[in-house]
Amino acid sequence: MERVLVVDDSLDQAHMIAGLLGAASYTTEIARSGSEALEAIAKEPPDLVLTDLKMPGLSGLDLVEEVVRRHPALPVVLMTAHGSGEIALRALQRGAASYLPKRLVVEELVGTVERLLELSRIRRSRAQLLASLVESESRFVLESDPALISPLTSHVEQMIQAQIPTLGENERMRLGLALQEALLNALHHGNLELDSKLRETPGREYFLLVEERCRQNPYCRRRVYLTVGLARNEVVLTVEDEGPGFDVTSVPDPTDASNLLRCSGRGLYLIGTFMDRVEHNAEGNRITMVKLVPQGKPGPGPAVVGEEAARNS
Amino acid sequence: MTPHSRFDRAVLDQLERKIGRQNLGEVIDLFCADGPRRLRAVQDAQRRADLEASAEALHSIRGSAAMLGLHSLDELVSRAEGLAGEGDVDGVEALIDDLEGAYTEAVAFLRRRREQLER
Repeated sequence: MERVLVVDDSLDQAHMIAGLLGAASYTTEIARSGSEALEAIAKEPPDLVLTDLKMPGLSGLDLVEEVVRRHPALPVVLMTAHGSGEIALRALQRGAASYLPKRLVVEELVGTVERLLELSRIRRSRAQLLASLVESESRFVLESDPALISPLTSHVEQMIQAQIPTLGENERMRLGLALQEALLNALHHGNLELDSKLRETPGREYFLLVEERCRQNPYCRRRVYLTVGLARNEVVLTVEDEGPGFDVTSVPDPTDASNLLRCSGRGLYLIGTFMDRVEHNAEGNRITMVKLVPQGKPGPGPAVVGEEAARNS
Repeated sequence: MTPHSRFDRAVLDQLERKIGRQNLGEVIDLFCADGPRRLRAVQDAQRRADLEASAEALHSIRGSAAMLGLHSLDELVSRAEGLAGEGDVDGVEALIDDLEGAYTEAVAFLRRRREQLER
């Protein structure tokens, strides 16, 4: 039976909420303040937390933030007599899973809790499933549209987070930056054939050319191909473009920090710094970047090999 | 319910269906028993001109009023809470009598409902 922690300093309201949840077969526990709630969660985490906004001491918004920080997978719903969108937005920004005005509690509480617990169950199953996934490969084909690069990078970071949780946040972010640089290089310098030295000249000429060539033949027909290989011990990202390639011997020295200040070659410098291994093909239109995953927290799951191929053309 | 109804009977009907007679009776008892303390908390805070404490006490009344469908009390408390938030001690003070009246009315309404539950 799923357990809901109700946090409300008002006894009649807490009793009513517990009654509604009890009638829907949930077990409830009542905490009369934010600090009492944190103690109860530390002792035995519930499946969901339902909290009032205004309470003496720790406010509901502060409690949301604290629970999300300590238990990111635990859904928290904020309830308040205020029906304002502003408070709802603040609650969601702080990490609340949902928001419920008190005047709607009788009608909508149980439905809201049911939906969130269902999502929570799905998320747990997915996490278990992904923990069993030992290897995957995804392929993306990008059109000449710079606006696709950030969402794709963010998506790949999420894939890595889900499948290789042992890779720390900082490393994941550096990996994302390296991927973004590689994709930008492939689009701008590979497919659109823009000289990186143009970026060192003042003005917007470089960016105007990007816009122009994204609509012009033959540049606009070219695609960028990304392959994301995820295994427990490494992340392998391969980015390939359809441009003429470049002289791979001109790659900036990753041990020379002055390269970081230059516009041209800066991306390759960052990639070389953030990744453990970087290789180019002879034509200079494909880069393979490898990041090794520290094996500090092992725990091999069942030997299941999964493969996911996503095409975005 | 019309837009000007002071109480939304349908909320209590729905609540009774969902949590049962006994539980609804207990909720009503808790609300009625806690009423004098909550009102005193507002009055004490007003005497000290402590608007933050006023707003806190008012908010607690408002939550229960909203959940039990006590609209006139909810609206009045909402106004008083807004004035407390704006720092208007006199504005809140001017609403205290109305607030007591609305609270007394709400309690009477809930007690009648409580008696019906007993039958």
